Amino acid sequence: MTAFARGRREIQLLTRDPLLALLVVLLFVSLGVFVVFPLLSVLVKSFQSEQGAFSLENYTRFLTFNYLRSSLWNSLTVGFCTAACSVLVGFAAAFTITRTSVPWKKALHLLFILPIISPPFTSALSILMLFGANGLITRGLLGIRNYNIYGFKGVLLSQIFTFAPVAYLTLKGVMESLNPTLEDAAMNVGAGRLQTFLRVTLPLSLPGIASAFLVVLIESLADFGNPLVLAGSRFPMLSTQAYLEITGSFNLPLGAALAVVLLIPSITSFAIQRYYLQKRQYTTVTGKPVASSSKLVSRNARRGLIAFSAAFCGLVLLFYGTIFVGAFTRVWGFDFTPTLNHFAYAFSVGMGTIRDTLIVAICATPLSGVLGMLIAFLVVRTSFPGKGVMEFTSILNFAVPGSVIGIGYILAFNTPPLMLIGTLAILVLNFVFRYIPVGIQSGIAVLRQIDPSIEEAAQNLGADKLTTFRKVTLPIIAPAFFSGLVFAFVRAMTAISAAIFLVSANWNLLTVQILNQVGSGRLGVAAAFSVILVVIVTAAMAIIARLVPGRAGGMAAIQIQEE
Amino acid sequence: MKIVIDSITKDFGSFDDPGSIFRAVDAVSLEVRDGDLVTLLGPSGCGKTTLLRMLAGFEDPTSGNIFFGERRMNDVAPNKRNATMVFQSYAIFPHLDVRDNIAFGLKLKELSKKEIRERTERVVELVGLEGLEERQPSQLSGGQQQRVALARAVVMEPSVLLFDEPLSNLDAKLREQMRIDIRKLQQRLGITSIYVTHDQIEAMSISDRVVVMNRGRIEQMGSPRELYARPVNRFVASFIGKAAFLPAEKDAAGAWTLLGKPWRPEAGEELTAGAYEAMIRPEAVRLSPLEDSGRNAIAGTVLRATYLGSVMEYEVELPGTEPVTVHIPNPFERDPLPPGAEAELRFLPEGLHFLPAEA
Repeated sequence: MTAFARGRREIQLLTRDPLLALLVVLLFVSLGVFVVFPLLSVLVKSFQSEQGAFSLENYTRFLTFNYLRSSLWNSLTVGFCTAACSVLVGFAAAFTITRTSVPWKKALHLLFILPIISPPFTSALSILMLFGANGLITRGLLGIRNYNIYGFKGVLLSQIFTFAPVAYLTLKGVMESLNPTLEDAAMNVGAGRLQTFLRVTLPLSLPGIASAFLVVLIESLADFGNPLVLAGSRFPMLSTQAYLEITGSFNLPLGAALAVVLLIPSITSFAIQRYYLQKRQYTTVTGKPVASSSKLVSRNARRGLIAFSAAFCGLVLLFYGTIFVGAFTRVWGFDFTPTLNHFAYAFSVGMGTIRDTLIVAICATPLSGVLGMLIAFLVVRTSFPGKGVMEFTSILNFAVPGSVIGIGYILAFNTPPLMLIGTLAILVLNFVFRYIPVGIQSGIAVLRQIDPSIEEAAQNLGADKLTTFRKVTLPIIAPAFFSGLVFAFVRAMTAISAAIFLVSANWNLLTVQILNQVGSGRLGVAAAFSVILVVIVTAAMAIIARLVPGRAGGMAAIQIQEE
Repeated sequence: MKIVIDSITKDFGSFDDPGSIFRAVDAVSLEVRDGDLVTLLGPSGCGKTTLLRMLAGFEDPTSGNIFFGERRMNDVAPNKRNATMVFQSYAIFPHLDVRDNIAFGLKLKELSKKEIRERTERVVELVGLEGLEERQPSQLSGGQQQRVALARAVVMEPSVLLFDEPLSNLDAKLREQMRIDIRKLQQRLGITSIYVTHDQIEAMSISDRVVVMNRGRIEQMGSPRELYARPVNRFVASFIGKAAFLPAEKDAAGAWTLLGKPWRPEAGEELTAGAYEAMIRPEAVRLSPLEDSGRNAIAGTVLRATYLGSVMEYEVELPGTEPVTVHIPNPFERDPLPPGAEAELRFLPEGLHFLPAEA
């Protein structure tokens, strides 16, 4: 049988299940329209002059203008430095949690990951409030006048704070799956602590470290909020420069070209991470948790690690505390009288925005969850021609920076029949297709753990594939589904990079609102909005946690497929 | 419902890389009579489960046809085949209680509530799950889970019942009980059934006919008695029960030699001259202290004597061949022969079977 004949056979099998076939076609069409088409639009636009003729002028401009060219260089420098520092911090934190007996592990872990669920410029705002011209530390404590935090150091500090938790989560997973018995074995044959660490622990976690590095690099390149607040005009960066070209100079083609330039390192890192590194992880999964060995860490090393962790946690608390206090303070840096004025102002100008944000998130969250699980189900449990293509396009948006997607959407959906600019739909669709990759990945992981014969049994008793999904698979994967929902909701509430291109007078978002307040210097109001946002997100997480079916009995019975 | 399997082949592997192709089932043809229970028996990797999964529709044959009655099933989706299966892992839906597990398929058929309840109750009683209807699967023992899986398949009143090593996860005692229960239920309902197992005792005790498979092909098909007494080759003979194979030869004049010595086997008159292997089952051997009396006796040395309760098992070494296993019933009647003792063996003609000598 040739590949062609096999494709034909797969189509034949698919037509047995017409609903499934319809769904596959629908998914292909929507992925094509909402993922591929916007990206192509960016690419096409970047090769056009402002009048619309084919031209290379945008790229020649990029290469000849020093200012534009330096934005690539700046983005890459910040990206690599952020990735290196974040991995260092993340590794130390992960090592502390998995290999030492620190007290309050759970609380430490929560503090480490707290920056992940907060709006992307919480840290940028805190940095301004602490180290800015009127900063509490720079001016207040040290008495420095007009200290300039903008530029490389500000963005770097803010990004490390934002992305070290991402590296930490990845590396914690890696360290947990490294069997500590290997370290015990090395010491057992005479290796000292340092030797064991350098010759066993480190080499075994190297692929994980590289992977975490690339993930942070991708996120840093894509980051929008921090550069917009902290980069300043003398330190241009790609993602924000593309935005400024479009909204400031109304030069769409040049913005598109910058987006394409930004896309190249992102996609390259993603390809390396996914297709090269992931196959090279030395995970030793045994199915049962192994007691972690604490013999590897000497007393002094342990003290050092604890001090380090405490410092990072202190920084997290300081940053959040600053925002919180700032929200209730009359004029930050000058007049610390407690006040509710900022909240009063925030509610008076921002009620509509809060409502809009909630509506967008509530529409996008379930859609993204269901779609993610459906695609995961199709990829793991069925076969149809183009399955690999579907998996690839559906996770592609993980690598594509949000600002590129945002530009793609305004280019792709500003003409009939898909005239979506200024509508609720464009925001919802953007969130759905941007955040399904995470849902898909976790769905795939969970589905691979469910004995396929449970689904076969449903089919065997007369259920078609979709009924099987609805009545058997979905209830079983409900917990993973709900945690996917939490993620989608948090992202929809806190995202900015793509959304900033798509908001309109009719539909505005809280994150954009915060950014506007920062831009006009009303740090107190921005802090108040941030507090409101964090409260909403936390409340929503609590509600979703309540919704998760609490039938532990059913879940305990999931038959983990024996390898 | 009669099942016809017509020259079914199944290849696994990537077609882009011909080297990776593995033929799991190789041109297998088979007919199952209406109401029979047929077992597919063989070592792991022999293709029995793949064949069963093709009947259920979970795998797609590479070539060949499957018929249920007169209807060709190749292109019928698994959920339209009405051939319910009892899975090796039971595959009980973990989020449904016992009653909902059993009624799952009936609800999909959109039968009336009343009919669903009646049929579910009847089957619950049939498999002996009364009182457990409200239990969650995690609250059931292995045997009870097995019964739920069985009930869930039977309640559909399928035209074909498929069993995929259903008892392999149960302990020995329970396995025996379930074996009997499944056979009783199957005969009572008269549903044509295909049963996959690698356990020869299970196969022999439950089946009308047994299909012995090896490397994707059928080695032999027959009643349990035929397979045991008249296996067609060494593979079947040693897969079903124990056996020793001794080189024997018949010359043109009709005279036999065994292990190079003259021998009068009292069997095999119909065979042509040539080299054979005499298949000897342990229970078809008589063992006595060496007396050098009978011309038909073969002399050997006792290697080992093991008391197994119902029989005494001896390993006896014969010159120039593998040791022979001998089962002597009623071991309490006399003293065992000690290891090292010289003994003579006589073969009962009923327990003798000749196979063509394998190269």
